[in-house]
Amino acid sequence: MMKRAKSQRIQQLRRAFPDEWLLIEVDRFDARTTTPLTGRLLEHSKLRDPLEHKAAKAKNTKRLMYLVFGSDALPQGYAAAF
Amino acid sequence: MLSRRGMPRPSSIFPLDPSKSIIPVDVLLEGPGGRQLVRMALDTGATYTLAPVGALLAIGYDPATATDRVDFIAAGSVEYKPRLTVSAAQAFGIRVARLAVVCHDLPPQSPVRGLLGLNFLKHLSVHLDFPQRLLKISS
Repeated sequence: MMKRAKSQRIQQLRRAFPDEWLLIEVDRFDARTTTPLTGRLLEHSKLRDPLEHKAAKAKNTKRLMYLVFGSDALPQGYAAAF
Repeated sequence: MLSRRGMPRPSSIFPLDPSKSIIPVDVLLEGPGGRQLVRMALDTGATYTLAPVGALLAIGYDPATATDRVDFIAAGSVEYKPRLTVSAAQAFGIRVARLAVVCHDLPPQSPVRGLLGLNFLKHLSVHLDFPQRLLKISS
């Protein structure tokens, strides 16, 4: 049986993987600010798509999933025009 | 904006980092199949909130079967995408029920998965105070 990851601060998890996508099961959430506070890292990857599929598996459960990139910075040399 | 008692509504204050190339915001999307948190960019240039297909599938919607579609003008192209209404979206602690979202995946180079657009922001008072590095929100 796989060992369940320990709960950690979301900021700490993101800092540990600044250039990867992280799939996190959130266990503490501040509803006053809509901010995830702590969670368990389920998986991390350079690719987003495989984690999208895993996040979708939480459908019809009470689990709160958060698929987030480790950094808010655009890749070097990129600018955004959304 | 005043409350029902005529008093100014309290503001929520968030840090604003002028050195960042986007303004990131966590958005909780709710649907019949659950909830999912999506990190988006605050975008006053987007008519609608843009949500990723995977997150919409995860909360119980299927964009492929959406009958409503919209042409939206993106930087450099016009995209024809499904539009559906989620049960609710919440950001900055403020929940908006029955919010229309356009289903679209941003390119993988984007550090955020969606855009929080005007159809959400119009429910709020938003003050971007870059010199003070503060984002002030009230409803």
